[in-house]
Amino acid sequence: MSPQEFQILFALGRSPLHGYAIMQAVEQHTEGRMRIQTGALYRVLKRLLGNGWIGEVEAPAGEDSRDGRRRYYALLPAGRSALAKEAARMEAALDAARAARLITLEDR
Amino acid sequence: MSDHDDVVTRLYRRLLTMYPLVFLAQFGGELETTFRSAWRAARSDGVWRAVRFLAAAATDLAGSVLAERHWARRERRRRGGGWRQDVRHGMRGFRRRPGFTLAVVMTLALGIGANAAVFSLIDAVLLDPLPVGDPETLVAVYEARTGQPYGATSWPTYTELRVEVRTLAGLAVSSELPVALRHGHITDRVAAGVVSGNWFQVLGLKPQIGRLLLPADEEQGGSAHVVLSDALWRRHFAADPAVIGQTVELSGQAFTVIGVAPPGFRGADLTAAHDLWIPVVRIRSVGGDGLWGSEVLTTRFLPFLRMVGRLRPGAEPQELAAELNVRHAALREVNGAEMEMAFADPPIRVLPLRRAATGQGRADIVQFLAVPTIVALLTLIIACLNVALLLLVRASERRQEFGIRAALGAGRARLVRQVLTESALIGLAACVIGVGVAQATVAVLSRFPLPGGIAMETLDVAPDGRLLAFGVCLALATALLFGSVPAWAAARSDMVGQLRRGAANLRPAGGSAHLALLAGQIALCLVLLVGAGLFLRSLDAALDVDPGFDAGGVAAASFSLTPHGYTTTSGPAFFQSVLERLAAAPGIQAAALGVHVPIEPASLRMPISNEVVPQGRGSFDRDGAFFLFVNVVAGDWFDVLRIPILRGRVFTAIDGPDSPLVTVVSRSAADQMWPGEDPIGRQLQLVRGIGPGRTVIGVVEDITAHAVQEGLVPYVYVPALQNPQIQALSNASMIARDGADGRVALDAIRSALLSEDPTLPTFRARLVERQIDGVLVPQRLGTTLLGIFGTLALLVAAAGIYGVVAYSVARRRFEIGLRRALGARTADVLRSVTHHTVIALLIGTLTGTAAALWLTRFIDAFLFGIPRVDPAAYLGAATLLVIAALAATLVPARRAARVSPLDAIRSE
Repeated sequence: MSPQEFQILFALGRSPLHGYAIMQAVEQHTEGRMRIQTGALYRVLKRLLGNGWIGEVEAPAGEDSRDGRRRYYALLPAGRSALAKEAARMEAALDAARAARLITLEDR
Repeated sequence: MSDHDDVVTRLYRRLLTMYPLVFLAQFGGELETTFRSAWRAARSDGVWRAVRFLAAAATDLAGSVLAERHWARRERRRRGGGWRQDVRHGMRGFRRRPGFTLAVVMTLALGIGANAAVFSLIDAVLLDPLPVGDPETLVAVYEARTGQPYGATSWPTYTELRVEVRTLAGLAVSSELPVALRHGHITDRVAAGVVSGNWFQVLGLKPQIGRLLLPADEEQGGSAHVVLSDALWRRHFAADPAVIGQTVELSGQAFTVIGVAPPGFRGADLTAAHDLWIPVVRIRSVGGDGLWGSEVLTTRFLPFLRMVGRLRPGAEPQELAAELNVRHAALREVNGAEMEMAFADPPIRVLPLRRAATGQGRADIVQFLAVPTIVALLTLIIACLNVALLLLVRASERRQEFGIRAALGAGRARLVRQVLTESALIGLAACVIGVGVAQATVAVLSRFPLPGGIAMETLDVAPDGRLLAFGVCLALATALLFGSVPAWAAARSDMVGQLRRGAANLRPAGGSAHLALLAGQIALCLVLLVGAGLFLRSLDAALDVDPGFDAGGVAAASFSLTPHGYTTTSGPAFFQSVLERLAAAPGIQAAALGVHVPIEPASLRMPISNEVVPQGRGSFDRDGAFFLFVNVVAGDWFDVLRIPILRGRVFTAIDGPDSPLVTVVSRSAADQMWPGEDPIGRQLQLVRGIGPGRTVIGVVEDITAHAVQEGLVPYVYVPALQNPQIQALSNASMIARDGADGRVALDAIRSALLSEDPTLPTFRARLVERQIDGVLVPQRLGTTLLGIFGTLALLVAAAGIYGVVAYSVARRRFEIGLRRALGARTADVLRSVTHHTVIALLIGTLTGTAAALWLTRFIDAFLFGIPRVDPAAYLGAATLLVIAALAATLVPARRAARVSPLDAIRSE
């Protein structure tokens, strides 16, 4: 799983979002370190859709449709478990790094 | 969508089209909206942020476009597809719309086929070079006289002209006469080409088998040789090579077959197709005497040989003309009175040799072929217009289809390839059917003899491969051009977005294009109909014209005496006997015999002197020679044809072989030769300086002899019983009038001839009225062709109108239903639906009228008796067109009136 995929899945973990909202959420989470552009975003979304990890949903009630009907993406169970697996893998990597004294709690 | 899309957003939208269609199908709209939001946010954050955003966006765009396209290509390759799928998809589409497919294919087939036929004809007649070696250096040489710019020459003049000319590699002559061929049990009347010994050499021909005539064959001694044409060889000798060395009988004279000419060669002049060839020097033994007299090879006053020459390499026709003119002048000086004729200045003209006749004949043919050519071209244009119209109408439907296919992963190239495949299928089908159309067209054209008497059978008219290829290319181009509209439209990203919002929002393809195409079709259709009308009226007028005689109830049959052993004594006796028999037959009012039965193109023309000139002496008065038509007649000729007798009397039984020589002249002949004087008692001489003097005993009215447009011409008549040497022996016709429709006369003639001599073959038994009909060929051809194609064009245009209106009604069902629900009257609804087509009809009619006024100048030569701007023809055509167009419009439009408002709205 690529970093972009991870971040996007993560962003969708809380609630369904539309395209631009995903971009904003990722930028927020990574504190500006990762900015996904439009093209890259939808390429990843295409892949995630293809894997069955996310799905399209209708706009939640109350959203204004100023810019036409926007498609919202939501995390699917398969995606949620993939995300959890990836998080677990990252944690294991982190533990290994800490055990090997590559990083300490202070190197943040 | 927001109203204020700025430059960047608009640019981004355009650039989106670089993505593969499948990607756009999935995310097209979203990419745009997301980008807009991001850009707006970046913009409001300050210039520096905006610039960085744009840089990042550009990189991202480039990168993701490349990545996606690469991916899409891999996917496509994996999934494959290819031509077979295209073909299957195309065929499915055709099957779902059989009417549409049929219409497109048939119209194209019509256009292609018609043009293929006409072009093959033009090719065979005008363009195809002679099947001779090196045709570019061949020239036709004319000896021009006043009134005869494309004149032939005589044998003595020719033999002297051809000697040692610097610019000439060879000069040859040819002519023809009918002979009776006999070989074993085969008898046939064929056209013998009489040629100089070097003729085949000059033309550069090689024999198929055996050998061809050589200069040595001009020696008087030795055996007489004949060369057969390939067609004759196959027809009568079963293409048997053993024919070489065999003896055949031509008009009673034995000839040895020495060879067969190459296939397809029938002589150098299409207006005179030859079946076999013999040397000129043998002409007297096969009946040339009967045609031209015993002096045929010694007098210069019988120019019957057409000259053809081959230039030396590097020589120009003008050089040859100059050299020959010098030689000709020298000859005139040496020969003095023996060569005094009204030569033109300069007398020798040299022109490149073309296949179809020479000079005037060619001009006639070009003029004649102009009509079918224009008709074919117009048909092709109409066909293309119709195809374009049909494809455009279908375009809207297909945009949806292509949009879906794009969403399923087809690339732009793939879609265009699909259209190309379908166009190819249509083009192929149209081509195959077009061949059939071409054959049919050629069959129709073949029933009309070309000017100059060229029969179509002598031509090798097969639908030309080149033209079929051209037609297919044209068909493909048209189909591709108009069929690809939906394919390209599918490539626009916002179209994909539109698809998702609902097909009804699709903007229909060009309304103004429909209008233009329809108007164009209608205009051309009108031109064809006007043409047909003009020809029809012309034909009518021509049939009404008074030819100066009455052919009603007159029958004729022809025969030839010379080949069957009749002499200058037994021949006239035969005539007498048959005439008596025929005149006595029941039901016969009058019987006669003559060489030329009007109206017919071929006729004997002789130089006539209006006073007797002693042979070989006497001065020549330039104005004193008249080239007039001569007919040799016997019996009650003028009575049968009801030609009015103006003065004196006509031939009777007292004008026999032992009586004083007499002649009858027509009114304008008399006026020409003895203006203002009484011609009775005057003397004239046929073939100046040669024939005996004849006394004029009567004057008759002029008649139309050769063509309806010709009007009444001067004519000279001599009695057959006093002219045994003239043509009557080799070619004569019995005519008789029976007071009814002529069938009784026909039978009577046949039986009279048969009872007189059972072994004598007769041919061309006919009713003279039918013969006259055959002369009005251009008018009849024009009427037939234009009538057929005009009607087809009308049907095509009507179908086009019908299609457009029906489609419009179907597409606007919702709107119509709504309006009717809101209380609109039927008339208003009808008007709104037919509005477009009525405008197209108006524009088309006006344009068509203007075009017709301009184009009809090409058929001026054939219009007879009516003005070029004939109101009846124009009004008739326009009325027909308007009626058809209105019918085609109203039938589908009424469906609009019957649309139930509720159904229409509900179905949306």
